Amino acid sequence: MKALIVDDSRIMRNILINILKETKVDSGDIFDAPEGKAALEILNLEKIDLLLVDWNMPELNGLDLVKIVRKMDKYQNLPIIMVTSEAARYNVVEAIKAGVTDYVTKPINARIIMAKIKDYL
Amino acid sequence: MKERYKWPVYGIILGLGSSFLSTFMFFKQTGVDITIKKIINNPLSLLIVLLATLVLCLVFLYIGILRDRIVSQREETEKNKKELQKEMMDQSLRLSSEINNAMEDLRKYTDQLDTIVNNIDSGICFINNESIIETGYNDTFVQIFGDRDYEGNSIINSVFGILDDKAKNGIADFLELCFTNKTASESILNDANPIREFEFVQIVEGAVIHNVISSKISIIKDSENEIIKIMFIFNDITAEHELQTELEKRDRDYAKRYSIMVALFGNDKLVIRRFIDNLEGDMKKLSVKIKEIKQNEKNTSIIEDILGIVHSIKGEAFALGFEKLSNVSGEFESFFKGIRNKTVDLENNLEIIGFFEKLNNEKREFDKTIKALEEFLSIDNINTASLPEADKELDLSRSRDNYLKHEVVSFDLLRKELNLINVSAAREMDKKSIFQLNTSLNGVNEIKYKLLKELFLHLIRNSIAHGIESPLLRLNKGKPEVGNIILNIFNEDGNTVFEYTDDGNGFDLEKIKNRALESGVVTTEKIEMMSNAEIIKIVFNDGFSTSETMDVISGTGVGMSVIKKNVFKELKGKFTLSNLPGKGIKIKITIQA
Repeated sequence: MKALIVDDSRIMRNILINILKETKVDSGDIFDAPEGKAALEILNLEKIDLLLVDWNMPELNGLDLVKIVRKMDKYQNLPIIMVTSEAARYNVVEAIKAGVTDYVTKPINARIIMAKIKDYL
Repeated sequence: MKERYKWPVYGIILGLGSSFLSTFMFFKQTGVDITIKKIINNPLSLLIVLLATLVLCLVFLYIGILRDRIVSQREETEKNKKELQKEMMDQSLRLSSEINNAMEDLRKYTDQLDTIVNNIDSGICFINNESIIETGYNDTFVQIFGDRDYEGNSIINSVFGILDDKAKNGIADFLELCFTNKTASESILNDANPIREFEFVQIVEGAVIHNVISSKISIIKDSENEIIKIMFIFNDITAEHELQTELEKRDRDYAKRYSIMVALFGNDKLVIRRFIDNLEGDMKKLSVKIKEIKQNEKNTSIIEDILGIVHSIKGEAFALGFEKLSNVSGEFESFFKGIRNKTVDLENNLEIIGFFEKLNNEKREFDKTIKALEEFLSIDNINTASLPEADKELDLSRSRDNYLKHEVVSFDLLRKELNLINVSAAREMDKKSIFQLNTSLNGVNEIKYKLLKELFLHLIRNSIAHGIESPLLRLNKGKPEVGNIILNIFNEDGNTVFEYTDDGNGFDLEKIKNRALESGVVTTEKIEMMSNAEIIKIVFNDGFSTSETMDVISGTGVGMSVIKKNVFKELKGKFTLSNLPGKGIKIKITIQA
């Protein structure tokens, strides 16, 4: 079980890493990246089983990253959870169209996000 | 007799008969006189007859056997066929009974399911990928949307037909999204649902009924994980919605009432923190003062001090929305007002201690509440210890310690605190006023700050209670509806000057005179001799108030005396007052910088 966290805020990445550790993901199997391009390198090298991705990031943003990932053969069924402050309905629609599996809005609640992650482990 | 034996007998009879006859005819033809006796007696003839008979007999026997065989074969086939038929019959009967049983079970289950589905409070229907409603929508669905035949119709036209085109397009897009995005979870799809809550209008028996309906979807997939149907779950949430609206209204009222407190907890924890710190100090001072009270004496100055402290607690607690604390301090205050100028006996003393205990308990309760609030406010921070960059602001106790180390308190805080007093007092008195503090100076030290704050707190309350007129009265007088209270702070000749003005009615000299006479502060002869300035000075005496009734804001007669005490005794400053009857007051306080 390998998980990748993509967020440009280090604090947010740390919080999500802590949450993932709580859900019994081995800390050696938790990868993180500050934006989309770095994330793609990891996605190519490893076989990731869960992707947590922020929307607004420099370079390659979360939505474009998801679109690219969904085109990759090995990630057709990858659970992708978007963790973002964009909470409007049309944002959700856009995310679904890009291929996002689930959606959590910031400020995050540890219990909610943990429950969602457990669904995909 | 069996058929196979019949035939040889026929053969023998026929053979004997025919051979006799033919032999007989043969001899007759040839002209030989022949009788049966001759034939029997003639061995050759007999042999021929017997041979012919035998041949025929055999032939017939064969025919008989052959026939028998055919018959028996036919019978066997018939028998087999019957057996087979019977078996098939049995089997089909068994099968049909099994089917019947299964059907019975199925019917039972469907009935149960129907009962369940129809008793569910939600309206349920299933649609396929062309948005067509399938069989099996339930009774509640009909109750919600009206009794019509929905089966085979598009859900967009038949159920959401009343919605506008934009909404309908939104639903169509959403349904397409549901059927085409296989990786999306049900919860994210429900987040994207445009009709999570919508108003449904229908006409029932001539009356237009507005209902609020909520909708939720559930995706139904086949064994190959292909989406085949969407289940729509509708709920009539009109009642909940009304309740919600009601609650929201109540919440709004509540928030309005405690808007200051809410704003403080949201933005300015520092003001609350100061109040808590001051309360701590005030309570200590109170306990010391109470111990100083001597029996069978008047204790005038001690009681005045106590009244001053309690009055501040009451007013500030009220301004911040801590009603209970304000009420308890109020009770304490009225009691002291009652024994002011009287000798304190043992009974009074016990009562004083009782009131102090009550206030102290309330303060402890208040501390508990604040502590709980602080914990609540810092919950959002997950694992702050492991996050070096995390917002440490939430750690209130830390900022309190830091804060206390600061010597200079900024006038920004004074502005916030006094504005709070202005807002709460104006609201309580149904008046409108704006407080402005203009300064380019930084601030003053902690000790001066406290005295100044207390001083202006009383000034502002009195301005609003006695100076600023009601909005209607102001309009009648040609003044702007909203009163202005302005505090300018600046440096002048090495001193700090506080220039306080309000555009209210100014001091009402007649009222002060009457009240002074009533309370016996001055005699009639003396008052005739007094100048206007001297009359106004009465206001700043201990225990003087022009208000008929005591209220939370002013009227206890404590406020103005505090000003005198703070300016002259504590700050060693100067105080000048100009009264502009009908137009307001101007107070200038000068203290050493």
